[in-house]
Amino acid sequence: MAVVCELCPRECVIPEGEAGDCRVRVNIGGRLRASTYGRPSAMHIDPMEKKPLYHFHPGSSVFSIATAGCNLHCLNCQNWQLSQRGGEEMEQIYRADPPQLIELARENGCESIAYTYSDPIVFYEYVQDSSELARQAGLHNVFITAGYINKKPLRQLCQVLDASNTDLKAFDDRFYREVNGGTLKPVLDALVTFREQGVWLEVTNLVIPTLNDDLSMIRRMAKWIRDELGEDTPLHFSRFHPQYRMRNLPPTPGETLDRARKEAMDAGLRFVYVGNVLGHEGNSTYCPQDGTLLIGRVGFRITENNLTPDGRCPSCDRPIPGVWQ
Amino acid sequence: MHRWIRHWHRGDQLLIAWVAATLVLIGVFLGSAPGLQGERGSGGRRIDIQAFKARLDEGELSGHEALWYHPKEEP
Repeated sequence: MAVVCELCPRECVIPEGEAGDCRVRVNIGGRLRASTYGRPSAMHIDPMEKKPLYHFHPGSSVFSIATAGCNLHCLNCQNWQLSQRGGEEMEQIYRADPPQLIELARENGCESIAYTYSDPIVFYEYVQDSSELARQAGLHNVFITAGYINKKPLRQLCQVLDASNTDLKAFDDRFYREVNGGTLKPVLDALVTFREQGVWLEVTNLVIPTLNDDLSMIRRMAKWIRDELGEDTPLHFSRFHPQYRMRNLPPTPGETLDRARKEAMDAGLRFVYVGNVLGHEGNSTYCPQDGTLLIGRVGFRITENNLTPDGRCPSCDRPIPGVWQ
Repeated sequence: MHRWIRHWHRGDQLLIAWVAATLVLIGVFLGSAPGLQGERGSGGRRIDIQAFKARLDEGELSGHEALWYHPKEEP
């Protein structure tokens, strides 16, 4: 018997013996199997800054995992060997059921677990069970996603998540259809849901030359973030590098990222960053009130942290939004 | 133009048929483009089910039942 997956907006109709569009949710005998549950294909220890999360436990280590599969098909995917394959196609599969995963994270001195690299939406059940155990063990749960998920499953998952960096790939439905194989509206809904449910939220926008670097679109996106998510929502503009099926475009020029950052700040966002550019001043956090350097960064490394222990500017005492301790 | 219509040859018919077939092929290609993949009910992907079951039996993949699905109602 065919089944209908309700997890993401595709709502795939999956005949017996076939998978959803994500490749890893498989119909066996009329029951849908989460085939990569407890079977990650990538495990790394990363700094929190790599996610990127700049306002959530800065400088801490995060145990990062991913399984095969993804429910988007971005032409510029940087993890395509992982995301555009099913579990049966993977060379490397680790066995790490939720209790083992928690143990691994603790053994390696990590404060958090990040569900990341591909899109953790497709291994939802693994994220949920691991996150519950992680909470009990005093670990934080970080969800790095493109946000292409239905509202009800996301609301339930938010109960066990602490932070998310969500990609907003462009403020343009056509871009989503042509470059990512998705649509924009569900992503905007997911961003609002994270905010409503109290999950600490940062947003990343990968700026691709000629495709989504139009300043008027960036202005509209920044205004939407300001109005719907709040002016204190950190926004990361990330530099594109040619890869996978998009090798025909050059890396994003630094000036384009500078202009995007200025546009977003002019629209009223207070914490706008530039990523994938080593040593850029936009890597660091400044007080929006008096301009004091609060957290200096070079790449993923913190060079100085001047925040007070309770997350305030040391000069003007302004509280800086984030989860600092 | 009139002359061409009056003197209709088999070669012309073949040309018309070839152009029509090309347009149909282009239509099919565009219809399967990524731009349409985000739509509801668009999924369903054939996988190597033998390879999948072999790795399931070896324990390299999981048979954990998913959340968030329902049986498709027959029409």
